[in-house]
Amino acid sequence: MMPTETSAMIAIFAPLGLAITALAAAFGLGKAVAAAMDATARQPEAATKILVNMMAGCALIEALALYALVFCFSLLGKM
Amino acid sequence: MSSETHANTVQKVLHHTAEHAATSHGAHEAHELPNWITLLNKHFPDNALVHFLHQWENIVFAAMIASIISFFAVRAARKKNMVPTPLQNFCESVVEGLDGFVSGILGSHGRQHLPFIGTVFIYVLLMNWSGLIPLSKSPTAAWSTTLALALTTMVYVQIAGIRSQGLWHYLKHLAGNPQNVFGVILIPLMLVLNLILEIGAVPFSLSLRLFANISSEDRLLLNFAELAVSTHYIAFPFQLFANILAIIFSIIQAFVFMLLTTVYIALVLPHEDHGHEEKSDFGHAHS
Repeated sequence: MMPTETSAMIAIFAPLGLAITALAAAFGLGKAVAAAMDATARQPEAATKILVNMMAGCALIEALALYALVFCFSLLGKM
Repeated sequence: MSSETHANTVQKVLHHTAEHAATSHGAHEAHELPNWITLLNKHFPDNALVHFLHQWENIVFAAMIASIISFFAVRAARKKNMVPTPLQNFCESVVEGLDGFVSGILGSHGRQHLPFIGTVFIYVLLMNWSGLIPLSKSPTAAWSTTLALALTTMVYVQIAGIRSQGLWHYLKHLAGNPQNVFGVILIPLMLVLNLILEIGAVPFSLSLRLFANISSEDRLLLNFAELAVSTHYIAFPFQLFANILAIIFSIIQAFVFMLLTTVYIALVLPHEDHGHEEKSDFGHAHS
């Protein structure tokens, strides 16, 4: 069965968009975790507080990558 | 030979139930493990009560969880002993932890918002965790539930802002607090921006974040379960790993929902003077 044009374009660009979003999220998370590591090294007794704040920041960055994942799933359903 | 057919039948039942649950309302793939409502729907597809339960699946599970929370909360708070019973002790420690967190962000007079914020946290946490219980589903794995939660939060935040600041100051806050002529000129732009942000972007991002995380968790659980079954249970440790990941991320997502609610409330409350904040820092000892 020949793939239609829209399904071919969805098959190429939906995972590509997801991959770019994941790459950007990885960069942002790397910066956030690196900053948290530096702060913990400066003041080890504040380690749990820093960890809690880092988790909150990481969840917010992660959410952007997950938006792309959700739209990828709905597009794959339309394909 | 018999173990292979056993694995095949288990896999077929898993697929069949999950797909039957999905295809009974529209043609999209199955994305979570079956629960008792989908199993009932598979065996009695023509029953009116089962059809009703299956159609309102999320609400049934959400109502069950809410009634469990209410039952335990009422039982713990009925007799306020000086020497607490175990259940009362546990509930008190949870409330104290939440109170410390909320007061840290909102200040000591932010305690009036503690009931709503604490309820949101406990409710969302238990809803997230109920996807891990066998034959049960997380209601937050559907966008409808999380959108309802996010809209409720938005309405509460706006009402809290109006109540604490008064309507005139709240409208000034929405218009961007104009100080001079330039600010007055920019009022339409600021109004449009703030309204779109607070009515559109805030519930949308809150709900989509929680929904995407929890539904991805459920998909992960389904995929790892299928993997474990299709490799004759050799890949079972991966399924255990997926469960641990789901437990941890459920806690994190509930915590982030609560944190964002608290921050949004803190943003609409009136700005305190700086002298007020310095008074609270005075008592801290140097470590």
